[in-house]
Amino acid sequence: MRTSSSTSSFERAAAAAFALVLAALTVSYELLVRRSEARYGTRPSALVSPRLPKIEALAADLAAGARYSVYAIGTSRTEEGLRSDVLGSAFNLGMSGASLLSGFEALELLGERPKLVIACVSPMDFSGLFVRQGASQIRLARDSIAPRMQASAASPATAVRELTYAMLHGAAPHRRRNLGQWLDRFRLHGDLLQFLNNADAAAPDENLRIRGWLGVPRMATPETFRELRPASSIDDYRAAHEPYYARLQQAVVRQRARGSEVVFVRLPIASVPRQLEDAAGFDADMRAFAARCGVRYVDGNALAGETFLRDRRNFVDGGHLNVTGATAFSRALAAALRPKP
Amino acid sequence: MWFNSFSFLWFLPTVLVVYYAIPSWRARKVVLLAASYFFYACWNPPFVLLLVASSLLDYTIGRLLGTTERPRTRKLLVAASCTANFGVLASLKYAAFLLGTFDSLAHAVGATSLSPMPAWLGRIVLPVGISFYTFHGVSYVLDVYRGRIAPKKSVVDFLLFIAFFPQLVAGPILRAAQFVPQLESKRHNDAADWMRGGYLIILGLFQKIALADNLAPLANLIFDDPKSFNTLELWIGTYAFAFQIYFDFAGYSNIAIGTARLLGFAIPENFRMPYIAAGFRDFWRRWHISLSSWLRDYLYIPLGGSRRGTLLTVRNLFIVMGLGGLWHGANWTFVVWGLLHGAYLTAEHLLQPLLARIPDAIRQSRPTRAAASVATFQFVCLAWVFFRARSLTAAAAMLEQMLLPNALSLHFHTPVIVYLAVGLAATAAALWASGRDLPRRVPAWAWGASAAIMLFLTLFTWGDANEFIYFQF
Repeated sequence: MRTSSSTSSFERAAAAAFALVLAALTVSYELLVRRSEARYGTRPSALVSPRLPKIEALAADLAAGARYSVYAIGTSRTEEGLRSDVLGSAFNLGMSGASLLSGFEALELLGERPKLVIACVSPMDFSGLFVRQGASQIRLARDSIAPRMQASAASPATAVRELTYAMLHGAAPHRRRNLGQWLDRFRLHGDLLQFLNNADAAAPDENLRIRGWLGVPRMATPETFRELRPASSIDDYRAAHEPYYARLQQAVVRQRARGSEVVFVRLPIASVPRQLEDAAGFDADMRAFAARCGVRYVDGNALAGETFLRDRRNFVDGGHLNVTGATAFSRALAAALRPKP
Repeated sequence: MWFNSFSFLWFLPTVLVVYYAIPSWRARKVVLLAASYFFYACWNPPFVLLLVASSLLDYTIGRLLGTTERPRTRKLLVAASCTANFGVLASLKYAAFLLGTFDSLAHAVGATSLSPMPAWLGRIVLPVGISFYTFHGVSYVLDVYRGRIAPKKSVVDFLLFIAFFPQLVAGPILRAAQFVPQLESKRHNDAADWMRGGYLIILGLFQKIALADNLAPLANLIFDDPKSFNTLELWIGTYAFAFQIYFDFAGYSNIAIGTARLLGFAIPENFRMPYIAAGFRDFWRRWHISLSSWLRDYLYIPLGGSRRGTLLTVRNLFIVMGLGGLWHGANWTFVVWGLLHGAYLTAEHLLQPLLARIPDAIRQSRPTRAAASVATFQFVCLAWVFFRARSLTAAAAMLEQMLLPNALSLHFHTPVIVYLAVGLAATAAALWASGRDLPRRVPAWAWGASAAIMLFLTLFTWGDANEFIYFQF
């Protein structure tokens, strides 16, 4: 850029070009986004995709009057492995790649006080990677829903944010598309307006989605049935799980203080991954931890039984249940959690 | 408060309006100081007290240095400043690291272990920007001691020099001689200054929000679970991190420089297209310039620099780069990163006589420089593995896989690689443009249009809001 102060025509030309180009880009993009909203409306909140901000979708659901007395929280194992519709008035708040600690945080953020919280545990919940990824989900959700949830705590910054999103729908968190997503869109030749409206518009609609549950119909192959992903989760668990147990204990105490009953559930997994997890001491650690917290612990492997566990038709891979497995196991869990007469 | 937050979007215009509405220069400086403390307090209010205390100590020592000529007293004053500044930094930033290292050493030689580590160590909160403002204060005291600058009389001016909000939490590291004279008289901006400031802020936001934050998921994916990826994927992850940290930190620096410019102040540049550097000395003249020049002036040259023979030069390079690495964080990974750069610089220093024999026509030719840039970039990326890895073991395992190829296929589907392509294309373009003096030939409309496109992309491709990487240092 020029340095002389006597270049006023230069600055004027640059400013004019800036204003013109910005206006042309923004207005045309914003018109497209608004047209897409006019055609498709807002995202249907009951159909939550794993690639949509799930907490946001739940917040929209709650704002629309939905009420849930049971929440399941945990990682993708939970998201795919527990059918919300089988568990009664339930919402599956399992989040792929995120520790169940963020599930508890999400409940706090939303001010939810359900009767029962099914906290599904796995070694991944105690790994730095999953805790960080979960924290990132919470940060995103807080950024996006906090203004709606906490109107009383409005600040000038919040007002600026809301004003920006009101003027520029395309800049709102669930409407933004990064360059990689655009690349995907061109590759998949999806409908542009649908793409601008919904993050998973370009994804093949092969999965079932019911109140946060993501049912995957695919069946494990003999190879994937033996897999545990991510491969490093056991090492991560061995390396540093103590601080996360302490945090989980605090989260449980807080949730119980809010009137919820908490149950720890270990979801069924195939035998090879289970042996790896058991060798790392996960099952023993969880039992001891549950006893220390005074919380009931349900070992899904024992509940499901060996016949179920050996049958790869119940699994997507070694660590995740598919639709068949999730349906059968959710029924068994619902029966096990039902109060005894 | 982050530059990439909505709070800053509200904060900066408010400060600008109030600042320019006040006619008195003294009052303007007070407003800037108050705004700077508010900016810092948004993160953790009590730590403002530490910032003020540290600043007042250096101010007082500077004044005392101005009143005495006795060498012994002057040395004692400098020692007091260094002890206090580095003592606070060491206890807050390095206590756990030093005790842990001592414990490991004791364990290795069979002595009694300190473990378990005191629980309170884990609860220490590192004040944001402490590494930066400590260096500000120490450089001021050393400059006064050496007679390079006169001690500052105005306490407001001095406090503002330390706390000036655009550069407070992540630099660039300012020298008193660069900044304090600007406080002597009222700052004025012309149209070109406003344009330049605005352009730098937009460029910085674009680098941070549209590029660095969108590269972060790819880098995190690879570095958080390197065992799950093959050679090609690990290299891609490493390149992603190289560009992420560059765009992140250069973005912050550009926003800082642009913000200061809007307030009428000039802050020197901190990055000069580092990935086109042809050689490691060249790299350090382009990367985090304010830190590398600080280390050169206050550590490398006082140690003797390169004037006392090869052996001492090599020693000095390793000391400076090792400490430079440690400055980034209390972890051996940072130290090894610094030492690796020390080794690179040593190798370059030792090869200098051989390289000098190559005819200038060949050495300075574009193809030779381009090849040197590509080679330098690869070595810099290898060093980044230590910088980003969670442990030395993880870094070593990752490097082994990267250098002994096992597979060259891509198993993860990640369109985010497009950002990596942007980084590589930007570097290639910078390499092509270097020496051509393009900025002066770019027409006005192109400056305006490029700023508009960057702002548009920033608004509509906003990634997951991450804090700036250098906040943690």
